[in-house]
Amino acid sequence: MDHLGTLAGLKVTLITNAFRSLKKRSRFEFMVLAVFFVAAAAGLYFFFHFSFRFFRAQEPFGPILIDETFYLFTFSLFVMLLISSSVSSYTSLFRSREIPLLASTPVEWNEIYFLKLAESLWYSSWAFLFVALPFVTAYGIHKGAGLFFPVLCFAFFIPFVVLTGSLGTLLSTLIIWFLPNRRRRRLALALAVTFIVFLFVRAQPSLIKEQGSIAGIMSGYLPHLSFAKNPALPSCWASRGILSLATAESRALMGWQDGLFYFSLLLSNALFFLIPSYSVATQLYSKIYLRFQDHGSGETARRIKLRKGFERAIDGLKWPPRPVMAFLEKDLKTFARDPAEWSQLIIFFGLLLLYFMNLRNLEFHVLQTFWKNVVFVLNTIGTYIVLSSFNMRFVFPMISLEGSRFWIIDLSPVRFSDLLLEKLALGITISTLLTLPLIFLSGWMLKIPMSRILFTAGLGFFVCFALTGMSVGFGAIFPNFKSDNPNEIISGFGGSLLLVVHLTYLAVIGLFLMLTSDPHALIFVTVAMGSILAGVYPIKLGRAALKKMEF
Amino acid sequence: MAAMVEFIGIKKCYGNKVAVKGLDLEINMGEIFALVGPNGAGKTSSLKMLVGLLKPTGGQIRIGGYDFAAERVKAKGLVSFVPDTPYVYEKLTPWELLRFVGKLYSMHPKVIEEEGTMLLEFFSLSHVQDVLIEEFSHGMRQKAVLASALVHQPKVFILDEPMVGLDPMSIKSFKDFIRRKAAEGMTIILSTHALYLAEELADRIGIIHEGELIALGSIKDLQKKYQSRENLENMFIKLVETEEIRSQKE
Repeated sequence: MDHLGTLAGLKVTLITNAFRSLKKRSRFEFMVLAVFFVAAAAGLYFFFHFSFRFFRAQEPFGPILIDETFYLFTFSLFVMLLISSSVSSYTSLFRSREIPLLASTPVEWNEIYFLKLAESLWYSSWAFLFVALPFVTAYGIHKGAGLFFPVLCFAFFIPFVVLTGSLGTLLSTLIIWFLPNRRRRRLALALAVTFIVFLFVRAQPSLIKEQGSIAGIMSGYLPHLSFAKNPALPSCWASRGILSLATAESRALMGWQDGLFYFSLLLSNALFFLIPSYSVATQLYSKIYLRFQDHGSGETARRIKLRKGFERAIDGLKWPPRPVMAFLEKDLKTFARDPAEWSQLIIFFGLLLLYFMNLRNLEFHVLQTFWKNVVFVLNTIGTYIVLSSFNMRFVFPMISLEGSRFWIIDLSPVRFSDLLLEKLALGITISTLLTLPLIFLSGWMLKIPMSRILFTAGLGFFVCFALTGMSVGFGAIFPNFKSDNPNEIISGFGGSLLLVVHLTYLAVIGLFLMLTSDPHALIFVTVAMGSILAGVYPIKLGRAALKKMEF
Repeated sequence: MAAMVEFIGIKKCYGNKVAVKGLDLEINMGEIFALVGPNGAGKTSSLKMLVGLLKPTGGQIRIGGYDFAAERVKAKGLVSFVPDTPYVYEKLTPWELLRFVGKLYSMHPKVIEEEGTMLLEFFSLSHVQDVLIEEFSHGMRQKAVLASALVHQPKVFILDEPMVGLDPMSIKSFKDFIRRKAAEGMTIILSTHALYLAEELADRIGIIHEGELIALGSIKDLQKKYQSRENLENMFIKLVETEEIRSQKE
């Protein structure tokens, strides 16, 4: 481990230089981004603040419910960090272009493993911090712990992230070791998901006893939230530790020892899990990495047959023109061959599917009409937020990823408008296929009247149009031809601005859906027209920007 | 002359496909050796096995007397590798890149400074030594990569398509530099499709085809062996065509 210091120094220099190069950006960009981050954090804070106020008002369950929420929050954080660190460690441990450089120097494989583990911890956790901070601040204020609470949470967050990240990284490394064959890995994942769905469905008893009041509904739900309090879960240790240290009252009740015990429990487990990580890093990592380099002997006969069939189908189409079709074929193949990236989306859309399928087990369909509509609108907006992330990740970087080859497009007999329309059509098709069935399923499971389901799903098509149009347009207005890394492209000014625009648009759509209890043609037409405008205008601007560009 | 690099029965398979078929080769200290061959012949696989980026399916590699499998770190300490599409830290300056690589090879800061200054001057990067590499053209990036690969004064310098992106002046001075370093005892192994470069620079040339070394020797040896007065390019094409006809017959 002689080189870890040098490698850590390298990363510090890279971060410092990245900040240095940020200074070259315009003040306007900084202002827009700063305003967005402050507004988003404030928005989240107020959302949590009002939610806690609402919970507290529900006597006699308020205080209990607030505590349960904290356990649920840390539990969700645990699950999401576990998934996120597994996925990001797969990319950073096996696909990073930095590894061949380091591996050809005297740096040991276990040093590379720990460097990549640290990177994966950072990549998988920083975004959660952004959501967690407004939550814990609002929570601390409601508990009367003030600003001491976020500081306390941060102290617990560090060993919690190390423990969860080490577990996630170990998990993905061991899965790849035991299941080197990609097809078997997919099969195992499908089996695991089916098993979890089965458990989830079986474990949901009848929940709602009495729905005349929120208290009645809660009395049905509260006992079933206890899974988040399982003492074997690190999220439970973090919650108990934080809650016992949060206020003078809780400290007097449970004593400092309790908090310190749970902190030590987290810390010691985090340190303990570095031991199996070290073993994997020393014994297995190089073997797995080198096995990864041994690419197979090419496509299987079945795949070739599939690919040929796809190519024949594409060739058989009379429209759009061939050059545009060439881009369509390339984009579809590129998308399909990038499983490491789209697997994250499958997870998120899969979780939505799982949740919607269980709406009847959760007995949401027997709620009063008002609450059913609230759940339906929230479900729909949740689906759009996941769709927005799909557009941000896949559609927005499409033009940038044409990269240094973009001059070829400029010379070829393809109009920029055709190219943008191809990206738009592809994006809308995939978005619609992902979103509308989910909205339909959510409404059907909630027993929402068919007219309202059709109204919302119909509007959903226009929302897909708007989100995709904005993503294609912004991708053309703010291309980054220097980078071939989608994450880097998204994190630029254009990507950040697009996020602001997406969220603002979705907030407006959410308000419309919330305020229209009955489907109304005028509202439908207004939202549809507005969405078409929101999608088309950025594309027009993008086309003009591309025309002006010099390559 | 002492062998600096030894491939002993090296074999590499990717699934059912055999990329390198029992390669036996010795490359001497101070020698410039060029590995040429058509695309997919096994050149890059052989070089990657030499630096530990691929694991041989069979055989042994020795560098400076060290068995690569058993004494990896010691062997790697002697080697430097520049791949055909090298990774470069965009957010480092050339100077920071040299410092980082020097530290990885446990060099003393003073030595890093001396060697680094010399290399930055040689590659005409002194005036941009504090500029982030992300702002460089392709050729300048390549220069920064070459400079960083040389900072620890490797005994064996392995290059995959080394001149891509360099301007004519830089190519000329880099060729002189390679000759000078070889004369000082550095072993240089290059894989290239630019046959004129191999002909001009290399003491010996190995032609690899479908994972087999089909010809080995200096350009004069090869001309003598194949009774040809042609340059390497024509000889290479004829040899590869003959091999293809032979393998089709088999």
